[in-house]
Amino acid sequence: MNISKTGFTAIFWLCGTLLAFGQRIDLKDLSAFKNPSNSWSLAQNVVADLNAENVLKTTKGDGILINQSTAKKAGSDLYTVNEYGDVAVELDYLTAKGTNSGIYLQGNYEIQIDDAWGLKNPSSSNNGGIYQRWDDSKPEAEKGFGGVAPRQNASKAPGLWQHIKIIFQAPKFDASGKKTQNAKIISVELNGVLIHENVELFGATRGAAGPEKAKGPLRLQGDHGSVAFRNIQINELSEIPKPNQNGGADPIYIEAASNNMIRSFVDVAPRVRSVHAISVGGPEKVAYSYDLDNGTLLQGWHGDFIDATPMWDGRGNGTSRALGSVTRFTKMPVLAIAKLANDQAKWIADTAGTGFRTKGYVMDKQDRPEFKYIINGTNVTDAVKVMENGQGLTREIAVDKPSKDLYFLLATASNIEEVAKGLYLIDDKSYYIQLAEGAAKPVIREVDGKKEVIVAIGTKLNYTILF
Amino acid sequence: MRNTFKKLAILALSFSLTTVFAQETPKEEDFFRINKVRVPEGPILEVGGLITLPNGDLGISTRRGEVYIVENPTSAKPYWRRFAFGLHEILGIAYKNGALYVAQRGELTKLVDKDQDGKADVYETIYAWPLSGHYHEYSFGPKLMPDGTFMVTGNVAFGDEEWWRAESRVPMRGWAMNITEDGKMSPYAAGFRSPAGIGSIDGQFYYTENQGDWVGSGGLWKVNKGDFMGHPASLRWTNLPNSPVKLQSDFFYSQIDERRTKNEQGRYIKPENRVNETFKTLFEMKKVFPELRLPSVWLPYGILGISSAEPVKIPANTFGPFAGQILVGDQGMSIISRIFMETVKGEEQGAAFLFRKGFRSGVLRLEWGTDGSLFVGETNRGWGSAGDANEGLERLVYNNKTPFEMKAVRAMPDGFEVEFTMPVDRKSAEDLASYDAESFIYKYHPVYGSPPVNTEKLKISGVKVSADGLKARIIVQNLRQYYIHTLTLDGLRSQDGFYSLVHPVAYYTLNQIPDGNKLSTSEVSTKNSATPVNVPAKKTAVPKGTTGKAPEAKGTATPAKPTAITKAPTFKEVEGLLTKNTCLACHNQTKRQIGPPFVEIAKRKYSAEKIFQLIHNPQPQNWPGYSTEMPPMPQVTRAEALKIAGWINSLNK
Repeated sequence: MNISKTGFTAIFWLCGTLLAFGQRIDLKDLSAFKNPSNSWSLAQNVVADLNAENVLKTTKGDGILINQSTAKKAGSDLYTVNEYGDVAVELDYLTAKGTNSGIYLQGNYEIQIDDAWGLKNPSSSNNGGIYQRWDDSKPEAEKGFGGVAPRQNASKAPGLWQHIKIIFQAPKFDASGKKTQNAKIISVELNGVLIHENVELFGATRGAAGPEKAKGPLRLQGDHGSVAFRNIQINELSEIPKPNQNGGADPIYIEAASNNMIRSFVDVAPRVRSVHAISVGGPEKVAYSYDLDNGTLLQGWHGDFIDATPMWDGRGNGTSRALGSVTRFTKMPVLAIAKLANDQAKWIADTAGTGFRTKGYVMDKQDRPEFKYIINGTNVTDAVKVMENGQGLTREIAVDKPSKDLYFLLATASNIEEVAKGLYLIDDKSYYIQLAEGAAKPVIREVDGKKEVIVAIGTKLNYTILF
Repeated sequence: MRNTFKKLAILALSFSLTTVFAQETPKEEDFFRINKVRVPEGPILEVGGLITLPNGDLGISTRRGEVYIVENPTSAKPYWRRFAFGLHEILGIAYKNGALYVAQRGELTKLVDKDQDGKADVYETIYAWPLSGHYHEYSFGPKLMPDGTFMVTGNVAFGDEEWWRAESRVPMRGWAMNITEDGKMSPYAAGFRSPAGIGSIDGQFYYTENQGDWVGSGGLWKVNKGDFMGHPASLRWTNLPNSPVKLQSDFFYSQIDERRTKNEQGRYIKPENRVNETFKTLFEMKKVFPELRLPSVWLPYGILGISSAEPVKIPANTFGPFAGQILVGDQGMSIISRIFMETVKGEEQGAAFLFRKGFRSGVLRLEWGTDGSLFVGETNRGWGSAGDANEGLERLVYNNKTPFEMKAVRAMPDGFEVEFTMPVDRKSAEDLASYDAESFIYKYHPVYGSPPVNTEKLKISGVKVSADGLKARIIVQNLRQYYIHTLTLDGLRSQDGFYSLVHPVAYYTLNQIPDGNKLSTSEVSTKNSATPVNVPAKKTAVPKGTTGKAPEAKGTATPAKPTAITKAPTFKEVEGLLTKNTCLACHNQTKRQIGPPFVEIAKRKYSAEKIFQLIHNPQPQNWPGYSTEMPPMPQVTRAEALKIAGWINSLNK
């Protein structure tokens, strides 16, 4: 049962003998970098302020590379000591609100980093774009050219780790130093989405460090905004991996130009298949999958809606998968609501004794489903909706027979940070949960080495999931 | 000289005879026309369900999870409206009290347009059943029963290593579920394999099964509560407290070997048909498993279908002489067959005939329009089919002209009585040579399908034609209970027009032989125009290209030796073999269908001997890109295979 075929770069990475030598930059100090300016520092934790531009709050320590740059006090770019030709770069980054940064291959070719959270139509100047080139000699309107927008806006919210994998082929020169072959972006995968593949770079992008050359340092932009990096791995490549030549069937995609939904099997994790699942998406370019057997949100994503090829090509295997950048909310669906003796009681393992019965859903006036089910003698309406600003999901749980012992499982995660009143960062900064004003206070419990966040439902529970 | 003259005279005579006989016999399409339904670009109509609503609208559900409502569907300009969407592979549809009900992969769903804007806004789960997540666990229906409850059938899954062997991984796969409006599910019957042909005829639950492991051929089964339809995978759940089927799995396997064996490497071996073995049949196992239900009527595999689909009853005043009979679609051959049913000694049985071929894709669903035309819902995705398309919605329209057909075949104590749609030509009807009979049965074993076995040609010793010419009753020797009796009436002609029967073959499932009066020899005609003659040199059509010399009148039995230059057989000469051996079920001469076209096979330049081997042991890996594997066809004799091979190879110019 092969779950993931969308990761084309996964195929790139797996075939081909890539590594000349690997290098993960040990962020115990800044020795890997050349004369780092003081806008750059190290920390052990970083939290973004969702309401203030370029604000990153840090905790003393190491492991995370931080750049602080504001309008009042601009930072500087950071260059590695080592220089690279053909290279594979893989790292995590975390943006501040409104930030602007970038990763320059060889200091000359920029993959843009910015806060493009919720943006419907990204350009080359947005997160993941191959930044434009620049020619001052051209007329004003034409000075910028040649930028390549990412195929999708795979961006996540500020303060969440985003993962990027870049495979870069350096330009080639002859003995006299004349360029004989252009540089190439072999692939860029952002948050699991292939956003560039085989893009030829006809010249350096705007603000290049210097002329194009066979080897150059990795450069991180620091003069335009606050940003954090970790797990920086730079591997010089002895051989550019060849793409998989297996085309496969004509793909069958489902769009959500207007509110749309599709039921299918959804693979939650290896060997965990939700057989009564539904995926819902809208023109805001946000979507989610929901498990009807438990009332549990499985995943949410930014970008394009659904790849239905696995189920609609030939006999199919009954599954569909998200096309955008996925944030998983659970590894193993369990009932979302439980009757607990107290807020420390163990969550239920299955539906035994709960009288759980799914009732399907009712469409609202905008063709969006509101889920209905019965549990513990009460009728539940679970309304999950895509936020209009494309930043995530709102959720309202209403029960018609409220009871003080009815709890809702907000999340099960490896870690949970409360970053502001009612605002929680879940699972190593994978997504936020924000409880509504005046909501009951959630209870965080430790269970089997994991953190569980539960909250009493009362009559109605409102919260948002930002990712 | 004399010989030549004689030859010419015979030639002239045969020409003139054929002129008399040469009136073009009308075909199916001269009575039942396949019309296109006007569909706007957009919907992918992999039809899973069809229902005519009380106001005449047609409700359509699709494998892409959508429900459409078509207003004025029989008009020239039907109006299409999407009613619901986003469901998981819908395979049926029913209407009850203003709501539509559909079975998706995982649940029975009620769709209601509460705010009356033309679209469903309530998608209520009536009952959700477990699924393992295997791709083959299709769920079919619902059919609305007279008591207001719904019937849904569940397809089995298949093994991972033993991909040929069905499994019931979760309840109620391989079962029929009876579900009430408020979501209470009662297991109804078990033993299903791929029950795509879920049906309701006069309020009685019927279904058709798809040939596969344990299922020798498709057919039409009646289903009552507590029945076991034959496939053992579902027996896994008969020990559940509410199971109406009492047969237990281990008892079943103690009576029939399921042939689950491994080879030396520890890998499972796919059971294949064994020629020359003792085998069991369904009817003999019924003595051991009383809850086993035999088919009412078999639909011989490869002839009247490969993957049988929905059965419907023809309403009164519809389709002329066939009103009241049953039509069954087929997803592989893209045909519709017709069934005449009767009850003998309390048991249902009857005759099956080919009715209409030529649909553009696999026929899955049938539904009557308000004007007596038949909507045909089609899809072949995953398996391929005859026809040019992967999906479709067509409409079968009758022109009220009477075709010359067997209207019915009834079992008699000593044979069969055929009733015709119009009077027969007495001379051809009273000639025993016009009739042919044989009988055969299928094995009941874990192998995928079964060849016809115990085949016997049956002697027809007399025929009595009724005074009005509408009936012919034949005395057939050696009737065998439970066997399928094939009656071929090639020589029969109609009184008016001297036409052949549009469909000259009937397959009668003889579950019971009626009691009653047998015909006496004085009542019947025993004329037989095919009485053998002593002249050894066979009189065939004058062969082309023979030498000018007359075959030398040694007069003895040395016809030109058929060894060396055998001219390749023509299609006409092999057509009968290709039909009888069900080759034409999957192969067309030039077009890709379920299997590759014969011209493509010819390009491989296999020797005739190799073709014979491949017919007995197909190598599907030689044809990647075809979803359905060819089953072994051990019943094709060597002589037949070599003749077929001769024709195939002649296609390679």
